[in-house]
Amino acid sequence: MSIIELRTAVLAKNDDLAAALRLDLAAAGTVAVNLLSSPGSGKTALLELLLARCVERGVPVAALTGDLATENDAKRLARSGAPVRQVVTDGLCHLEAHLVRDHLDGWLPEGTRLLFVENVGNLVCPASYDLGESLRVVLASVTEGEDKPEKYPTAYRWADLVVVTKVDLAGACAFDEQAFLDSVTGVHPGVEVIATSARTGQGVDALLDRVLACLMHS
Amino acid sequence: MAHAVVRTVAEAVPGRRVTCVTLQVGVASGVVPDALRFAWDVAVSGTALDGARLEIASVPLRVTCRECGMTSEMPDAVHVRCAACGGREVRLDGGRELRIETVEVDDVDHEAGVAS
Repeated sequence: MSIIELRTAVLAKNDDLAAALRLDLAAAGTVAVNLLSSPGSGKTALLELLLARCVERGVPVAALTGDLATENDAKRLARSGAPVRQVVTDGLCHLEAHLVRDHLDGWLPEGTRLLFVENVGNLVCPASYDLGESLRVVLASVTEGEDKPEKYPTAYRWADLVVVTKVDLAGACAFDEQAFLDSVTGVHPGVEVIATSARTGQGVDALLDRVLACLMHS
Repeated sequence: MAHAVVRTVAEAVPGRRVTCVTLQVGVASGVVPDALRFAWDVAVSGTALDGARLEIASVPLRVTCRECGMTSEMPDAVHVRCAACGGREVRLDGGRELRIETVEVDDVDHEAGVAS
């Protein structure tokens, strides 16, 4: 028997690819935003609005959307007028850096400033995979309960921004905002939280302004 | 994730039969040790790691308090606060590790069929 010291990160390949992709995107003047949430939290509905606002404001935007199956989300998002591409993972529960790179190669329009990457709906594995993003956003809908951050601490711990969705339903489901904020603070002290509603449009411009601020720093 | 570990090890020590893998898993890495152990036997089946043991060491989240300056370690990633003063204005460090530390291999090169 021999003991060999490897000291290798399990996700080193993904992390290296993601780092290279982040550099390539930065060189092209593009900022990528990784959107994480559980299924049904309203990622696609919010992204529809964000893309439409970008088109209105003249911000060159594009989106990749990941799902285990179907092109449904890409069709929905493309109605905004922005270039959208579906990533079908064939059962893989998360996106990986090589999937993002392969879908961008030869497709991402030149001059794109903002690239949204809608991850597969899942708060577990996507949290472990760097996709070359500059901003990682985790979304939680008011219908999911206030303790989501404590239940999925990794997703919240590594997020740059927390977005609450469907706040128009907060009253109907007795959402306790303070309890949610306490739960967020418990796993990631100091992270910024923005409340939104894709139905009323509340918070969407504030969220977009926050995302666009990354462009200023890129 | 178990498959990623198996793939990484198999590529690092080609041709060797692996009998044990030790991992460092951060408490905020998102990897649940029990789930990894559960998937391990299936992941190693039919590979050079078939039958290999998996040993997992947990790496705590380190918290440095902005109020009292103390550094403490959190055994989990929930309820992050300074262990000394209870303050919540803290800087977080570590806990994301997911690293293969050591691999134990047979001293026989199975491809060559001779002791190496």
